Amino acid sequence: MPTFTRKNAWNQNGTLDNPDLLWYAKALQVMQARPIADPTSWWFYAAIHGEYLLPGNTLPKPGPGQPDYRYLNWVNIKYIPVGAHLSTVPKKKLTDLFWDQCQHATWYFTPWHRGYLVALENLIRKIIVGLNGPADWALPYWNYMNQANSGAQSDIPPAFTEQHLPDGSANPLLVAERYGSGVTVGNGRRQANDECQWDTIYTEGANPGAAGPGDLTGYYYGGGETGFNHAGGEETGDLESNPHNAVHGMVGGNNKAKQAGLMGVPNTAALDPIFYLHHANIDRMWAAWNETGKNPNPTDANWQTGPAAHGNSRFAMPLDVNGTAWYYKPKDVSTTIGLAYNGTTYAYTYDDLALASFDTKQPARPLMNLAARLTRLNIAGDVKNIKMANKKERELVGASQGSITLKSNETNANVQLKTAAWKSVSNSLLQASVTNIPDEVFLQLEGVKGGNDVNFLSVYVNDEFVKSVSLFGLLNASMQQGASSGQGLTFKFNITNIVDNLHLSHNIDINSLNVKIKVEDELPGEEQITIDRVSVYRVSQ
Amino acid sequence: MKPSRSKRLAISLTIIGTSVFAWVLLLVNPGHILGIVHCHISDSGPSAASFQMLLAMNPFSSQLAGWGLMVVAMMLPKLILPIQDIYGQVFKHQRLISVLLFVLGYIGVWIVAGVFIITATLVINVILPKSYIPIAVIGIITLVWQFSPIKQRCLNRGHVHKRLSAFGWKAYADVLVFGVVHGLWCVGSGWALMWFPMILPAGHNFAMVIVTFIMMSEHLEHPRFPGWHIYFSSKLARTIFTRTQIIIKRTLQFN
Repeated sequence: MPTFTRKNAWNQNGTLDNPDLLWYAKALQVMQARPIADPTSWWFYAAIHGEYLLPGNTLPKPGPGQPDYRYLNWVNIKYIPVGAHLSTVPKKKLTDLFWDQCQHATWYFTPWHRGYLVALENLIRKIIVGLNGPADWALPYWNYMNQANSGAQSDIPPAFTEQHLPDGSANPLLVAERYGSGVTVGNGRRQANDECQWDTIYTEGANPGAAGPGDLTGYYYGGGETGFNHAGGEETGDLESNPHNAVHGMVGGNNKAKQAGLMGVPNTAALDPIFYLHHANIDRMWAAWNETGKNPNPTDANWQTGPAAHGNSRFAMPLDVNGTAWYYKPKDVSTTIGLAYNGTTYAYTYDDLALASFDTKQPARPLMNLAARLTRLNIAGDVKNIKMANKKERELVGASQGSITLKSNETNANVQLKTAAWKSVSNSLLQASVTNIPDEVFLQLEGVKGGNDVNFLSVYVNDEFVKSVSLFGLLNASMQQGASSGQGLTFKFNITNIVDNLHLSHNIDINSLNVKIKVEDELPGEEQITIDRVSVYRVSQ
Repeated sequence: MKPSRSKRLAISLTIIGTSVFAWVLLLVNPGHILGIVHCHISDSGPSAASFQMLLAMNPFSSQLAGWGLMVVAMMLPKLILPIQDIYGQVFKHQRLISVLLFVLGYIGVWIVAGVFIITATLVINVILPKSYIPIAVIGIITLVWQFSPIKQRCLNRGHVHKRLSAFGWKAYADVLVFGVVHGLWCVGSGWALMWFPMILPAGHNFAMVIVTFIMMSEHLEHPRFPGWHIYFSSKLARTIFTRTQIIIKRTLQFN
């Protein structure tokens, strides 16, 4: 079996002169001509990620004064042609097995999407070979972080905006409901970056790296361990949070009527062909994190076995028109070389496995570097060789009173601190040493609900910028009807450096923290975002 | 924030231990507190007198105590996730009292439901003592309820974990309300299944084990669209099977 190489979509300036993109488009024409009942159709494959088509999943008519999201129902999407025959959905046993599988806000995010791409890549290659195309075709990736040509590659490759293919036929890569033009790269508000690549731990309980963990979201690189009840929206890892979620929101974008583009919402995202190039890049980053960054994936049997470890469905991808399934576990796809695919081995690599493309140097910020934090706190000793303890205790130290409603612009929330609990934080800083690592402090927005998936929230604590987060997945997580329990999303932010600053300036004895939340894009008239609670936790080592 | 792995494990083991203890009590059945052990009907057929006699031989209070024990044994493991959630959401010194208030609210709802179910069971035993007709009728009701959209809605709502106030009396009120609301959805999904073993003339304990298995299994399922689904959840069986495989593999690796 050869090793296929996935290449940069911006080769040949990202135009249809790039054979990887041209053959991708030609194969899509074939897949898109098939009806949705065919498991090898584009529409079926998109529904594997998520859909608003089956009766239980469609978005309902809104109540008075409620925003209307029915434009996202697949029957209302212009990109899907009549030939998809949406009225004839596949047999129930096929939809039960394959549809609505995407794994978000969980430590299965990376392996599930790798298998999804591998199955699609093989299907497309078979079609391309049937069209007398190259037998070594592999899915191209879109590295929006690439800084060559002054960051021009942050734009969507031009092949995706052309009206026609060179033969004059309609370009299937062009999507009417894609409103973003590219990715805004940076480390500030509403920007995507690859800072996550400097993390050294995949998940809680994994072996800690020598330099100390990077842990921007509180769930490390790959997300939190998923247990019996995966309600969603709770345990998003750093890679998934940014760039993954951020890029979805930026590429989906809003139209003038403030309607989200397909890429901006999980249950429509995989309809857009750019989706798979975005995920090829996320997969490339994971491979680079393993191979170049020398960071291991979890060895925990719960991760390696996948959701089946907790009695949930196995990952399954259709291989042919009959719906023959390839079942896989995370351990089957934990490497790109020698991947276990449908009873055989499969191998692919990337032409660029640099650890990071934008944040090419390890951030000096204490969040990303324990040694830097301890030095900054004037803690003497062999800080370079410290390893973090695995078993961390968590404790609530403060919370807002009642829920918070966000409209456009910014909202301030007062997070009251419990004196005794906060004292534990300040004591941990006062007594800190290389053998007694001070607490980390996290801010959490709990139960964030709304429907504006492509929006971003920027969070400040005591007027200091913490982070922007994409609201990708907000609508699904907020729906009470249908199959969702409507818990909303939860976002966690590491604010340890802000607390360290308070300590260093001798201002840590406080009763409250001011949290400012900015809604980055103006909300349409009737829309609002609510947050059940803003809370602060200490995590001791 | 979710408690650490070790804390989650400690919570799970404490709850399972309590449930096992309640199961032992149930199976030993001290004082015959469970089930209608003395059934009597006068020659003149069902009457107020025969109902009074039945109550005298099977005091309502002991019936209710038995019901409460049954709820603790069968339902407590279903509270592992919400209790872990509460543990993480409240201040350290409020953890124990918050968990107890939640459990109190939850069991309180089941006790109220028990009053109705026990009364109905007593009435049935007066009208049709030792008959299989009630079990057939309630069996059909249980099956219809089992596959109904209302039941699925209740199961879905049972997945919602309330965000709790952190400060003042509202913090305690919130956990109590959380327990009551969680209990209401749980009663909504499980009342028929819980009633079924109560009216069995025989095989009560075996039926309770089966019902516990079914309720645990469907509780572990993800929320799904409410509708008429003829579906028997095997999730608990699948979970036990896979967990056993993992434990065996781990053991073999260490040896």
